[in-house]
Amino acid sequence: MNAQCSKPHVLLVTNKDDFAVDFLIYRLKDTSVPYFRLNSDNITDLGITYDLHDTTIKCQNFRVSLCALRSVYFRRAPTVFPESIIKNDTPFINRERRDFFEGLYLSYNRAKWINPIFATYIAERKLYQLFLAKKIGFNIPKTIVSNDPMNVNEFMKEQEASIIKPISHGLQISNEGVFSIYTSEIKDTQRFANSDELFEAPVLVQERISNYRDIRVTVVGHRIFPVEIEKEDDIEVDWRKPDIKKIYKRHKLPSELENKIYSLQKELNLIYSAVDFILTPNGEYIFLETNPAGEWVWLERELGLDISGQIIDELIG
Amino acid sequence: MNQTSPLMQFKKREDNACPGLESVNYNHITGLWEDENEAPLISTYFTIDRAQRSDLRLRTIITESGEGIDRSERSV
Repeated sequence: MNAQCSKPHVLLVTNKDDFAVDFLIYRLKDTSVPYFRLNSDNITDLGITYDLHDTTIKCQNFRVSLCALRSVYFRRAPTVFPESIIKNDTPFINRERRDFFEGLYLSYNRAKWINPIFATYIAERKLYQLFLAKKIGFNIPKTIVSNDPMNVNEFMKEQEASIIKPISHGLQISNEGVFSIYTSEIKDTQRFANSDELFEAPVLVQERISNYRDIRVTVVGHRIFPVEIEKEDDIEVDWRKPDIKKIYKRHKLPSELENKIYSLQKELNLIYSAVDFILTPNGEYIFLETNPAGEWVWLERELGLDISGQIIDELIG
Repeated sequence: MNQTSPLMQFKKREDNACPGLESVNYNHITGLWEDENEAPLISTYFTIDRAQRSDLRLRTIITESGEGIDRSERSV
């Protein structure tokens, strides 16, 4: 935002390391619409004051007021913060920080949110997604979620092949490094030998669906950007693994499926989402999951899709 | 007694996820990462093709903007 402009119309809520927002800002600059990017991990660099009427943000020689806010692009939850001055207080201090930001954002409910923050949280719950997807009439994989290994084993015996995927998300950042858990096939040999002991957490296991193509559908308002993804390695289950070679192509969805996607968006109160399907060799689309904060920059670059333009239209239109 | 979640058998270290941001600055006013010349780092991303993206900082952009995250929250 220009230093002389202190009343942004668009707020970008994210973290510092979210380069999709760098990408969007670079496009947003062409519109001259005043914006401000608020990273939750900058909480110790910015002076933020909320007085129930307005929010002011100060950093060195610039000052921002949110009194003219019209729209918000919500990308990242306020969960990533610097360590507390007293290390043992970090969980408590971070809870204070998180509740501050979430309460602040909720008070701007007259602005247009892409997406509303708590709608995003709700929509990210995979069990609820599957429940709604089934209700709307999508084809979904046979699924079990359990911490009882006997039940999981019984389920897997009934399938030709099964996959396991995180119920939450597969990214783990710790002092030891960055780790991912992608959707993976469970081989027979990996069936759980010890059926007497409950798992420490429930696991999400599904039948493995025969895959002709993976389909990612990026939805922004009433525009839809379907892309088919061809993996060069058919053995791998999850195309999101970074070391898998992929070919991307634009794809045309049946209108009936598009309507179901819009129904799901409406049920979840989402403007933006990235919905994953498998297209089977028989031409069936199987719903896997929806990602209300799903990434899109690489698809825009791969295929020239104007996803950023559509997000900007939704923000300032 | 409990047993560990079988999901953890599939945990994989991401070697390419190094932040690599030591040589760039974050501009609080523009909301953009900048290189040593105060030019937006993202501008380079618009002007080069995939084969040229060997710079660690740009690999970081690709990693963080790519297929691997997809969530509003992450573990810390």
